[in-house]
Amino acid sequence: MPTIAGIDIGNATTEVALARVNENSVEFISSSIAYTTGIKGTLQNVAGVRRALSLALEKAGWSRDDFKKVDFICLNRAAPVIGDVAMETITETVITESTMIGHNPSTPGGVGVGVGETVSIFDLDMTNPGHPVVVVIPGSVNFEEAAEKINDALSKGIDVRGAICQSDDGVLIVNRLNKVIPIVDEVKAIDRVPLGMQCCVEVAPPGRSVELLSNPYDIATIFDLSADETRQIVPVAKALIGNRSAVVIRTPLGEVKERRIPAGELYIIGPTGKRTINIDDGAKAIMEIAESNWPIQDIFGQPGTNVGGMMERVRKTMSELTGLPLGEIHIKDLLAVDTMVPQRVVGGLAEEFAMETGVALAVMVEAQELPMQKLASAIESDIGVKVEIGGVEAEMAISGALTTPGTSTPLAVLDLGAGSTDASLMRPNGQVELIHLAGAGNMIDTIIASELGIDDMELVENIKVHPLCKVESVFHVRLEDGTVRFFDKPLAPELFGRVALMVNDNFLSPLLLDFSIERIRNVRRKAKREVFVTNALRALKRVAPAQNIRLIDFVVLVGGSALDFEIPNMITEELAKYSVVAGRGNIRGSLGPRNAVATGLVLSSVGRKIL
Amino acid sequence: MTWCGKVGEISEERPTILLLLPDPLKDKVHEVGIGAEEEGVPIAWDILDSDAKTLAWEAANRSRLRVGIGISPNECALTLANLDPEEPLIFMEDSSVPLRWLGQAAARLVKGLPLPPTNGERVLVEDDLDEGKIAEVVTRILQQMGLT
Repeated sequence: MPTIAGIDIGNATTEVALARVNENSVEFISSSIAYTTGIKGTLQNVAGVRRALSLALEKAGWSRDDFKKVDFICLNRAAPVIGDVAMETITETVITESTMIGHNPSTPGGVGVGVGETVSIFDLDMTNPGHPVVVVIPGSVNFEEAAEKINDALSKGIDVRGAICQSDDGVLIVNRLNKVIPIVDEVKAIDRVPLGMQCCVEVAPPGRSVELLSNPYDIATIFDLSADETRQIVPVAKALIGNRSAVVIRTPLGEVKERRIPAGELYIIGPTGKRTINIDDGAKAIMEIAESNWPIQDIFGQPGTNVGGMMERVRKTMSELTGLPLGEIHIKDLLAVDTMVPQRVVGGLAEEFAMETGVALAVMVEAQELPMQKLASAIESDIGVKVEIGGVEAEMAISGALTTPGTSTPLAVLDLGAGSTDASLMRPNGQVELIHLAGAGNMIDTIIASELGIDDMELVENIKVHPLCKVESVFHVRLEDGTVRFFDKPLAPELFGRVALMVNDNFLSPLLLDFSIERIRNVRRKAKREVFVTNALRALKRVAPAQNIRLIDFVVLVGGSALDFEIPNMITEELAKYSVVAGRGNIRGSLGPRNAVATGLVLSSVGRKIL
Repeated sequence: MTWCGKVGEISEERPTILLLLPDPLKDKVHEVGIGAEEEGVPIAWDILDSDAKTLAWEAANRSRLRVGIGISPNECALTLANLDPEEPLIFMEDSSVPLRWLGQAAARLVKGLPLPPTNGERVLVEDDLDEGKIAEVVTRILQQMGLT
């Protein structure tokens, strides 16, 4: 009986199924998985194939480099599809002339509202009694001196109404004063606070946020603003909503602006001609245009903008890969998702962040064919085993997926990958429909990274795949679903009080982020839903008979992202509304959602004369 | 209202963090107290002579908040009453440890908040560096890189 290896080279992983194949029987020996080296379809893949095959041989009980045990390799005809993702921020908050401070020091001092003219602590004793002032305290003055000076001033009848402080001393100063005033502390750029200006300091009690300074009419009352001026103060009020402490200063020219950044235009070429849409219009508008122009023939971005650059980058990668001229590479699909991005406020005094709107974009290019034959020969000469390119990826995926217990045709396979979401459907007569869509695991990473403001992609990947918990004491954590876990060894001090990732049962990794567990969970789940639930529906609609998802009986989820701890449930839930049986595949009843194509490749060789 | 006082000075009804240290180090109490005060947690102190680990554990067990700090001439420790006496939560053999940080960390432990960053105290100091100190740092780095 000849031994056959089915090898599936994907965007992220290379999978192997090893089996003894007879004319009418298959006996699977082992399976394995390794990272794909290089972009799929290139000669760089050989190293990954070698590693994956070695692993499979080892699992079968043979030596790692005993490639002679394999009589024949069946390689998938990889779909010539690659994707790319990018993020565009489309609004920006700019403060001119230092008009507000709106940050959340963990311990502001005192409580209440204080209105007065800003004065440096060094000039405090020269102020006229009865004239309300707000004291500005630089870090060089320690809290004892500051408290002493303010107490002196108060005893002279100087009307101190509040203070702005550079170091984290707000509570200490207030505790030493003869009168409770609101103090906003940890204001890094204290030297940029304008002096001699009308100013309002507000500190809310714990658990509350500022009420006056987040209401445009209250700001108007405090500073005696006209209707026109009140209209201009709205972005300030908006930026201060939710803060526990805030300062607003009235300067002659200062203002807070929310600016829209021109992000560029997209040109979508469909069956009815070219349509133009501005990225600024948001994800919903972009997706409407994309859907109404299906099937998309090509997409271009406005030259000279980030979008334009991104479109050209994918096109170029694909062109280098296939050796085809740029003109023959077409962008066939696009997925846009609205995001909220925390961005540092330009001109802020205390490193304030504002939530800006952004759009995440994923695109997918398709070429005629990848140079698979070259790769096949390279593997053949490297390993010394005969290599043949097997059938179409979609058919292989379906025949592999059908090994999941409880399935039958008409069956659709949703392949949730890293670079693209693919759907294929097999009709009862054996006819196969196939679609590739932009947006998959990598896009989720991009959205999480920008919404949480993280640069470290490894951390983002970890946030994506691990559930969260909050370390409540040195001996117990509360998981994101509310259950509590006890540890019999004390947890590390770095973890205490923090949100952490449950990497495995005994290893927690602390997140040094300033977000609550709910916020991180919401960002993670929203990203997954907006990419994969949206794409599952989009993809199934395209392959379903008469575009009706209800006519599909079974949907099997395969691919790397189907291993996720919550994505399959989200899709199952959504598809249940269409009375479709959907769930994570279980290839050969034991491998879970992995190895579908590799298994399909082996199965397709049954009964074929191959040697 | 007192935020930092010797045992007995603070009203019995108020739960406190406890700091134990030998008599010669008494002047360090103030700095630790400030750290806890900024977080709004009162701290009591008392004199006892032992090593930092033992002091911290003893303090934690006497404290109603179950959080204790121990300081000895070369070490300091912060621990909880339910931890192993030999393995305090935080133990530092560096006598230059920012004491204010220690007080702040103890208070945040009581409140269930993450411990403050260890370099938190130094941020402001860096801002206040004069030119001479900056030149010193630059020279040192250049020397390390072998450029001078």
